[in-house]
Amino acid sequence: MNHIPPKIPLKFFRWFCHTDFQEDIEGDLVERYLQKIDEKGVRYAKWYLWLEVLRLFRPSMINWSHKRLIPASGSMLMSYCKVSWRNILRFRLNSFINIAGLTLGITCFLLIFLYVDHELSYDKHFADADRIYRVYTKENSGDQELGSSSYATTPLPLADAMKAELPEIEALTSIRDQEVLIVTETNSTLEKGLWVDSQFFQVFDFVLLQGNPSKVLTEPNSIVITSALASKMFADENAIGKSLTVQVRKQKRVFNITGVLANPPEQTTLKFEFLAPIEQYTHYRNNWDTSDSHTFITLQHSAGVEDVEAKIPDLLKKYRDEDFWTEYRQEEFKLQPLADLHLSNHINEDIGLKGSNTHINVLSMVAILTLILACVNYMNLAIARSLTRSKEVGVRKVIGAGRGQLMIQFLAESWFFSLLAMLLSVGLVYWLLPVFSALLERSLVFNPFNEEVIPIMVIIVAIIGLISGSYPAFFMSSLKTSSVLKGQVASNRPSGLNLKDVLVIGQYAISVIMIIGSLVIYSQFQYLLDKDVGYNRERILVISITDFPSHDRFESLKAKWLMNPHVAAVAASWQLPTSITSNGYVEYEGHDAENPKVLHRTSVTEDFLEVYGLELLAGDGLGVSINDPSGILVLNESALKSLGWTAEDAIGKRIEHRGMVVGIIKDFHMLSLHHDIEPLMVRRSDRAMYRYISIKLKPSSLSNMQATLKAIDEDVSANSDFPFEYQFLDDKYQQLYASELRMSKLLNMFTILSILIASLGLFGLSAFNVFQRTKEIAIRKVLGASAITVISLISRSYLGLVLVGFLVASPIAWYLANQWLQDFVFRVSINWWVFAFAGLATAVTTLLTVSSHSIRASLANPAHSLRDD
Amino acid sequence: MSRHHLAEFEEVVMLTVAILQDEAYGVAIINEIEQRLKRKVSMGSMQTVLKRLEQKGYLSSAFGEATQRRGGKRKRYFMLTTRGKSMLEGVRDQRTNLWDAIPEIIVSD
Repeated sequence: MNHIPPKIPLKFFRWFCHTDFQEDIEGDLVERYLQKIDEKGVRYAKWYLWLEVLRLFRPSMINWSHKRLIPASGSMLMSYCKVSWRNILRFRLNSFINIAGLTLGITCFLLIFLYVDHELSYDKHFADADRIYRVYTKENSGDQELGSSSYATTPLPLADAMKAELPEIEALTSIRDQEVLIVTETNSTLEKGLWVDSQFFQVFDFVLLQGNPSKVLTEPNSIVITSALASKMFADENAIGKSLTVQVRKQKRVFNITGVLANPPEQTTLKFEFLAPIEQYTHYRNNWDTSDSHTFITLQHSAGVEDVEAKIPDLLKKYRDEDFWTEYRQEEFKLQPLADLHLSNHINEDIGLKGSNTHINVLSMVAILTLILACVNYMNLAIARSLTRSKEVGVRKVIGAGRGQLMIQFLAESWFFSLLAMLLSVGLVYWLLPVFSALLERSLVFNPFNEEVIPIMVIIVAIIGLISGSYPAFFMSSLKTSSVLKGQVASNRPSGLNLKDVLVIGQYAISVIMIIGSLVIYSQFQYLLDKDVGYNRERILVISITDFPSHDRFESLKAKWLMNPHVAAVAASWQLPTSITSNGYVEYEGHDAENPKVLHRTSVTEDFLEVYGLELLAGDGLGVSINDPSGILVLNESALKSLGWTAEDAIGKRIEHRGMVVGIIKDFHMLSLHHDIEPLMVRRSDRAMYRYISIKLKPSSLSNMQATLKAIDEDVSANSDFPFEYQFLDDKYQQLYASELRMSKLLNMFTILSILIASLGLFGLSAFNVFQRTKEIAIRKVLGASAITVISLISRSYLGLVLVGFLVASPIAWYLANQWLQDFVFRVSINWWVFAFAGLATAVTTLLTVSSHSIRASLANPAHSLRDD
Repeated sequence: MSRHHLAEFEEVVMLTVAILQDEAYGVAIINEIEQRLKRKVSMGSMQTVLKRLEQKGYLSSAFGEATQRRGGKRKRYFMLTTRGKSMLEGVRDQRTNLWDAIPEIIVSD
């Protein structure tokens, strides 16, 4: 039987406990330990002893005046501080590199932390945030849009049925979002708003500055506006009781302001400037086929998500009339937590501002990598300097310093460095945050005194200090006094790889991964921009008009503009060729009801094909006279394939409710290159509605262009109440890839930073190396070595390390880049030159970094360095 | 707060010390409390209370014998002081007064 109690906890106890009661309590501990062995066995007793000791570690038991609690008391402590400070001053370059590297690393980390924290905090501010869910539609028929069969919208009657039948639901609100023109006597402005029902405030506890949440939206013509909109429209006056006109397309309605909201927090998915009753849309109230409202519910505390989801099919049976479509579509209604909304991108027609999981993941990885780079720098320089410092350690040990004291000395030094770096970083973050925020299109806030941020900063300092100080602390303090003082550490270097080399390799591997990553993203982005998408993108002016004029009005405007010598063609359309997302099932001659087909569609006027240079393969364009009451169509090649037609037999066929096929056009990329080309019909009809006017301009001078634009602006403004909004199609096209562009810019920034950090480290390392080898180099020169030989002697070893780093990094980088590219249906293949460039770039930076020292060493007069001896 | 105030755990410890008479040292007190009251007591919390009571002057302590079973460490015996004794009695009187003031215990369910 083992009667000897474990030593470590007792040692720890003796270390902290006040001497006055150390003896008797230790006796108690031992006695109780033996007692527990008898009761429950050795294992339990050991565990229990630990627990008891830890629970004794409390202020009343600790000996505060005890010197062992403070690493070095009195004069010793002073000596440590003094020596550390002298070390910092003496090795200025070294200290500078350490602090600069750590500062850069911490700055990156803090910036990215702020971003990630911001992205993850969306919608968490509501009182019931964890019980709020969004109801969305999942199509099980295989029908997909943009690669997803989930839709954010639900039919209005579903909301009524859920409210009536499901006791698990505490509150429910239906929401429609819309951008409208808000007009008062003096002002008019385009604003986003929500049409909501009366339980809105029960689900979302937005703060009303004026008005009662249960009453503000009861009247059909009541409206609640944010204080931002209130001060925009009415300046300092009280907005309550005032009226304003809301214009949707051409309909105008007068609303009375019944409440003013505090501006919603930044991290809210639902963005709006006004709230008005959804009863405006009562004509949809009983229509299960129109799915256009967003439903949010608050569940009871005890309710389970699956239970609620499981009850919905019965609701549908009870409330919905079954017909062909309901049977065919097999919709399911699912719940999604509100907290997931901001970062979920797989649901079509979603509401609100979206974040990106990819961005968060990539940037988090970058944050950790740069931090590691910075730590590695510190470690490397510490290792390089261990030769000189080992003498200091030896002397200290001779004088009587314990290992613990030495460890704490080195750790305290690295903590001091990281604390200094943290303070500098805080300043840098302040300075860089506006740029960074603009790049991310978020308004990030940095408050270093925030109770959430302070612990993070303390933890970073602690961890960085620990990691970077670990080598000197644990290794150097363990050195044998006698061998250190005899100088045996220096000659003791293993000939193979040592820790320092491994660290340099790791550093360069990280840099290479980042270089390759940003090159791949950049080349994919260029590929997206340069790709021939099958339609013309140059010199096309796009005007978006909410209240589109009548057909006759449009025709006369068009005729007028065509007289302008700089205008080539004019067309109107419901969607732009950059993104045609509307789609639906079609019925046609000989269609198979079991296997219905989906076509994407858009309505256009006759010159659409000409404006965008869409190539006609067979039949006529849309210019022919409309000989079918529903309209005329051109199909793309994919549509032909999907319907199983050939070009010849397609022409003249009818698609029910859509019109007659008159021509076939070549496939073009009507969605972003993340997606494949879909079957498409482009339709012209007398009854169609449009949102955009596209104007193809002839090449002309800038001033002519401006004059043309001005003339068009005047004509449009005369026909529309809404502000004139235009864009060039190029820009619209680039916006499809805004997220990739942002990623590319960010990664470029961080790649440069990481190279900078790694180069700083190598700079310091080579400086030290050259310094140590001064005599060796001098002797070589005396014996006839040329400057080139000396330079290559020094550079060679580092180049080797960089090469190994490159070899390690390449497969990892290839894998990661490939993962990222999976997002695109159309993507670049990763070229060999990407790797070649990354390798070359690191090699060149290495040479440049090392060269300043190696050149100086090679040019120095050997007499100077040899004279000392 | 009245002059006669003790925290619940303080009272338990003092009473146990009183029960144990000449045998009141760390482990004995813990065992006694664990047996009588069926509750877990950590040495940390108990030693803290003992120190506090000693500071307040309710307990006094003295080193006793060392035994093999304790790794050669001496025991520290605790004794009730006169102040401690009158304190305990004061607390008991307060309780009794309260109990006497209740006509009959009425419970609601």
